[in-house]
This record gives sequence, structure tokens and C-alpha cells, in this order.
Amino acid sequence: MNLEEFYAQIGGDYADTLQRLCNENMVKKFVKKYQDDPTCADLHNAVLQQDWEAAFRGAHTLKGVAQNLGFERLYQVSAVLTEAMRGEKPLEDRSLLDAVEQQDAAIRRAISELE
Amino acid sequence: MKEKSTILIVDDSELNRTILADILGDEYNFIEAENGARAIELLRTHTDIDLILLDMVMPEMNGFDVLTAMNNNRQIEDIPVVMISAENGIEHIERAYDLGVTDYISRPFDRMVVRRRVVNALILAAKQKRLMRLAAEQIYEKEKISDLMINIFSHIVEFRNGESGPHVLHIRTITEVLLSRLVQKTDRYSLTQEDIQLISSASALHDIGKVSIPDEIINKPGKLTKEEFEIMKSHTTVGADILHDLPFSNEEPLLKTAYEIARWHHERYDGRGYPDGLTGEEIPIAAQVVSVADVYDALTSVRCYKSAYDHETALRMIVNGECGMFNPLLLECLLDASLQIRERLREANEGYMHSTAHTQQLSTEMMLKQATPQVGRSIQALETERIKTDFFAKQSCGIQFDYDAATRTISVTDHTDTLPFGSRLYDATDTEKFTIFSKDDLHRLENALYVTTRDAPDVSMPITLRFPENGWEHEYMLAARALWSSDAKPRYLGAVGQFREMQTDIMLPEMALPDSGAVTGRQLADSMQGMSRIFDVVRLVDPKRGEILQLNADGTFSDRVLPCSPVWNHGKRCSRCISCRCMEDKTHMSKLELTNECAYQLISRYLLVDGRECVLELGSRLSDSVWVTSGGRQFRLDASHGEDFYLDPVTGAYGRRYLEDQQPELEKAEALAVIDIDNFKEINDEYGHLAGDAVLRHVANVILARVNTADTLVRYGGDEFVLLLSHIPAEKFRSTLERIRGAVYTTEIPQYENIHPTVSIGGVYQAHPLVEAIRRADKLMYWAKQKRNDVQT
Repeated sequence: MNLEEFYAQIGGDYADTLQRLCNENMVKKFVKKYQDDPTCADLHNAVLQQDWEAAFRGAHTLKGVAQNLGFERLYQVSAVLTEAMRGEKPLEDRSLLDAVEQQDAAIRRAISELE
Repeated sequence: MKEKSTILIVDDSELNRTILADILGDEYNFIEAENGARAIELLRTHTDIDLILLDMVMPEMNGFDVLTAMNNNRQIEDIPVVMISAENGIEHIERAYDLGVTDYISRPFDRMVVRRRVVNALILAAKQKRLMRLAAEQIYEKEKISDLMINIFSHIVEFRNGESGPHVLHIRTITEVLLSRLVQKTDRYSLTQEDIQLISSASALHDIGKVSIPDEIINKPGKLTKEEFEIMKSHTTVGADILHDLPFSNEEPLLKTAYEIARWHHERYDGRGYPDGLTGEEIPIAAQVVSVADVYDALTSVRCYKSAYDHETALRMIVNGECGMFNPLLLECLLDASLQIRERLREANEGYMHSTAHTQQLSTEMMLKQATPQVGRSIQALETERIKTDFFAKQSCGIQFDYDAATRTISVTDHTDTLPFGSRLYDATDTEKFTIFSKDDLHRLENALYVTTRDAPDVSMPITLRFPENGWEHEYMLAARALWSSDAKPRYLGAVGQFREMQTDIMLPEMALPDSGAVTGRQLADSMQGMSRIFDVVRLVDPKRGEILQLNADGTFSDRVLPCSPVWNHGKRCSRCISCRCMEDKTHMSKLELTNECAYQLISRYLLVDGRECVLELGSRLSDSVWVTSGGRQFRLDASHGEDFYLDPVTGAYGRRYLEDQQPELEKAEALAVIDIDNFKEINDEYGHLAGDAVLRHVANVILARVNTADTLVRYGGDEFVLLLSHIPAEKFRSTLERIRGAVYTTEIPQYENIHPTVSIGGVYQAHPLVEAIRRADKLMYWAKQKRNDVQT
């Protein structure tokens, strides 16, 4: 799978990302780095431990990362999750977190198939 | 090669930090922090951070906490912060701007936007730093000068009064401590830091009127009589009059304050003082404070009429009203600050000066814009300095140069109105838009500046300023000084400098002569030989007699003397002969000497040649060639300046270019001849070019052997010479040419004995101008050519 196909599969805007970050190698490098990014795992743990401050921050950070990398679908769901927990509000609807984790898993799977 | 700016990236996501660092590229150094607390810590330990990219939502301390901390310790004044966040709410952005961020970047990152904003923020900060530096320096300079003046004044008074040495310093110190305490207690008097500074400075002049009091009264050990006391009291009004009559505006704040202090520092709060019997707040606060300080110092010092009281006794006496009544609030200040006063006086006696610190405090206050409107004096002073700088720069035809290494911005300020675009700021990182220097020039300059050190910061080199938009360009000499920080490990900050017209910036090489000036004739003869290769004029003179001294090759003086001034061709003694002055002062000097045709840079140097006093004069004709200094070494840009450049390598005669360049000088020739070798082409074809060259050399040698050294032979074309004869009588002209013709024909050419060249000569006498003379001589030569081996005049 090439980078363009990768973006198509995970629901991202390849053209825009490429334009913003200027070259393909850079985009690819950052995308691959996502595999080591601990934000989603941290977010998961924070919710488990009901640390709503850390949970909000995690969701917020993930939203930022997703936006920078052009992972449009992940950005959408993490934005919803962020707003649900803004002001350190306990998360009532766990499906919001599930949606984020689903996207995260999909992205990681796709990265492993990337050439 | 330029010093990289250091950027602190604060973001809790490592991935985001990497993206930012990669986007900005390796033009910068990066330090990373994963949260606000870490950022604060790094700001404390790293003093070289030039810019911060700051995320808002982070663990530990968030972005706003970092900004608040930076405001508290004033780092926000020095380091530009660019905020990044996905939080695009208007209230977030506004709050960030309120806390002093320079700019705002929103996610997702766009490479171009991030890069551009970072560069802009750095440029802006560089400009601000430059202004701060300028302001601080100028304020410091000004304060230093007023301090100096005040110190001179007050020392005169002290000397006259025979008071204990540091009285003036004591008054100043106590005044300052009291005022600082006073503003903490009340804002009734609305005193700024600057006012405190001003009053303390002016306090030094409180007793200036004592210059008018007779010695017997001032230094009288016992009690003064009523009449004597009346005279003593007049020092207040006399002092005030002195200050009032100074030829400065009475609105000048320092003088105004000094006047109040001089006149009213013996007034008392209850109206029982002198000279005007003012009461309470009628007495200006400056005079009130100084009166307390004066009394305290008088009590604690030895005077001719009393011994010194100790600190506590003096305080008690003042508070008890034994020295008259004072403002109760000031007495409180005196008691509050009494320990501080004692400590500060001790420091003052140890020669501790606070002035530098105060100046800095003042300038900092000003730059933080926290001072009240009364700060106008400093602003005015700055404005005055600016006008002065402008004026002098304009007078010296300056185009100023300022370079900031961190941002690679170059500002060029034109005070001469010669540049087509006046003053501008240029960004050297933008290779497309940066056109004021060529890439080569920029590279050379940055390199030269970069290799300077704090101890050897000066660079000078030719730089061409260019404005490609309208095809303008001009070569200047840039004299620049690199700026190094004063840290233990100096950092290269940038440079300042001035562009000057090339001709005015000739530097001359060191003379390899002993400092004492004592040399033997032999040594000097050798040195002069060497110097004559570099300078256009090298001679030894006795300026008192106005004579040139000839040195023989063996170092002895020749008997032949000539007047020294004719070389400059203005037919009289030089009006400002530096050689005379060098002779008197046994030193060396330089000046510009103008002749009718051109300018010479002239150096005169006193010498003692075998015990005989004389002056060595070295002159360089100003031309396109310049000396360049770089890295402590000097080298000549255009080595072709010497005579050799003009010589024709084949014949040893001058080349045609000499005729063109030296035409004004050569116009003075009395007579001129064009000499052409007959059938030269055939000789070349038959015997080859080596033979041709030998013939040319032979002809040139024959000619040169038959004319004076003052005459000039130029190889004008392939086989054509032009001979210029300077001092030849009309009747000898033709015969000289005939002799040349004959000698060419009869003299054998070594190795080419079978070749017998002849020449045809056309000569004109007293023909001007030169071009016309050559034309006519050429014509005559063609006539002569009809016969070959002939002379026509």
C-alpha cells in the first residue's frame, strides 16, 4: 500500500497533508512515527482510572496530532470526545472512546501494511 | 556559518514536536519540553533561547501558566513566544496576546506558515533588542556625562569648603535612600524612579553658593558673629543665582531641581529657616529631603567647628528638633531607613558607586513603559541623541550598516540620500528577495565577521550595494565591527558598520622601521627601495629647509638638494605641511594632498638617519586600488597598481595604457615623436617572431640610451613607438631624432647580426594637446616612410 492508498483507507486527506508538509518523505516519516505515539493508550488508561483531567488532555492531544497528520476520521471522533470531557467532565458515553480506539487501531493496522 | 537561533518547542506530544522541528529544518537549534514546568526549568538553565513555540493544553503547567511565569520574571520582554494550539476559541487567542505572545499558529501545521511566522517573530525580536541596547547605551552615556559635570562642580565646592571629602557623595546617598523610602510610604509627591535619580544628582550642587563666602568665615573654628552668619546664609541665594544664570534653559529639570535645593535646603518645616522662611509643603520636596541629609551628614562628620557625633546621637538630635523642624514624614523615613543609610554610607566610603546600576534601572524602567509621563526627559535625551547621530552620520557621508546574526537581517540606513531606496531592512535568509548584496559579497562578509573575535572585531572590505529593480549599483568600502556578547564565553551577535566611498578609505601598510625612528642611511636606502614598489612617492625631506635629501645607494647623503614642494605641482610651500609638524613632534602623521590632477594619501614619518633629523614622505596616488584588512592581515585588492603594470614586457617601454592613464602628466612634454620600424612585417615573416621581438627590444634600447630618464617611451602599436621629450631645446630636437635614426641603423643586434632594421620618424615640437600631437607626428612619419630611414619634423 502506498501513502495515497493509506490515506484513502483510513479516511484522511492526503492531498492537503502533502501540501501542508511539503514532501512525501516527511509525511511518511510522521505517519510511521504515529505507531510509537502513546497518546491513545494514555487516554485509555486515564479514562479507566477516571483521571478526567488527564483524559481530557489526552483526547485534546490526540485531536491535535490527528489534525497535523491529516487523519480526518480520527480527528472527527477525538474532537467529539474532547468536547464531551471539556472542563474535566467525567465521560458518560463510553462509545465515544470506543470510536476513537477503533480509528486508532485501523490506522495502526494500515501503517503496518504501508510500503 | 551564521550562529543558529535556538528554539524551545513546548508541546506534550512528541510527535507534534518532531513535526515542528522537521518543518523548521536544520536552520535552527531545538530544545524540547514536554510540559510547562519543564519549559520553565529550561528557560532558567538555557540563556540562549531565541524563541519559544508554545502549546496551550499540557500537563503540569499549561501554556498560560508558562506565559504567566514569563511575565513575572520579565522573560516575556526578551524572548518572543509563538503560541500553537488546536484551541481556536477567540478568548484563548486574546488571553494569549494579553500575556504577551508575539504570534499565534493554529493546527494543523502548514509548513510555510510555521516557517514564516517563526522568522518574523525572530526579526521583530532582533529589532526590539537592538533598540533596547541603543536606548540603554545612550541613557548610560548621558547620565555618565551629567554625573561627571556634577562631580566636577561639587568637588570645586568641597575643595573650597575644606569639608570632609565625601560629603557630596554622602548627601547624594542619603537623599536617595530617603526618597526611596518616601515613595514606599506615600504617593503624595508622585516621584518616579527618574525623579529620585534627578534629585540625588542635583543634591551634589546644594552648597555651590559657598564659593562666594570668604575663607575666614567658612573655615572659622568658633561660633560665627551675627554679621558673619548673615554672610554665610547668603550661600543659598548666591547658589540659586549661579544656577539660574547658567546659560541653559531654566526648564532643564536637573537645573530646576538643583536651584530648588541650593536655595531652600536651609528652610525648615515650621518656617524658621532661611533665606525665604517658607513653611511646610511650600518647600519643594527635593530641598526638604536634602536638608535632612545635610544635617545628618554635618552631625556625623568632623567639621572645623565641631567633632563627629555617632549615628544614634545624630538621629536623636534631628528627631528632637535640635537642628530645626523637619517634615514628620521624612523623619519617619530617616528612622525607617537609618540602618540602610549607615550601611550605604559605609559602602560609599569604600568607593562603591551605584551609578551604573541606577542607569540600568532607569533604562529598564523606561523600556518597560512603566514610568509616568515625567519620563519625557529621557525620551527627549534619546531623541536628541538620535538627531545627533543622524547629523554626524550625514556629515561623515555615512551609510550605516547593522547586521543581526541570529535572524540574518541587515539594515542599511542612508544618511546621504544617495541610495535609491533610502533606509531599509533586508532579510538575508530570503535568497530570492535579498539582492542588496551579491551572494558572493554576503558570503564573504558573513565569513569575515564570523571569524572575528571579541578582541579583534573589525573588518573592512569592499561591498557593492545593488538595487536591481532600477539597475543601480555602487561599490563601497564597508568598515564593520562585529558585536560579541560580554559573557564569559562571548557569543557572536552581529555587526555594525559604515559604507564609505572607496577613495576615502585607503589604508596604508605598516612601515618596517623602528619606533624610535633611528636608522642608518644604509638601512633606509634599502627600505626606500622596497617602498618605492608600493608608493608612488618615496622621498626624504628636510621640511624646515624645504629641501629633498638625496640618499646614495651606499646610504650617504648626496650634496644635491632640490626644493620639496614642486612635486605637488602647486608651485608654493604646502599650506599645512605635516612633515614640519612630524619633525617638531618626532612622530608620524598622514593627510590628503591634492595636486592639479589627482589626490595623494601622504604619510610623513620622523626619522633620525645617521643622526640627521629628517622626514620620510610616502605618497600613494588614490585610485581604484585599495588595501583591505581582514583577520589582522592586509592585502592589496588590485596588485596592478605599480609601474610594472604599464610596462610592455617585450621592450621594457611603457604600454599604450600608460599614455592614456597618465595623459594629464604627459601633456607637459615639450616635444613628441612617432617612431615606426620599416618593413617590420617582412622581418617577422622572414626571421620569425623571436627575431621580431629582438628587433623591437633593440629599437627601444637604442632610443632609451639617447634620451633623458625624464623622457617617456611608449610602445604605441605593434611596431610603432611614441617618444615624449620633456626638456629639450628646439634646436636639439631634430638632431636627437636623427641620432636615434642613425643608431638604429648602425648598431648590430646581438644574435641577429644579419638583420638591419631602419626606422622612420615623424616629430613635432610644442604641439598640444597630446592626441593632436600624435596625429600630426603620425602624418609626418608617413611622409618619412616614403623614403624610409628618414626623419620629418
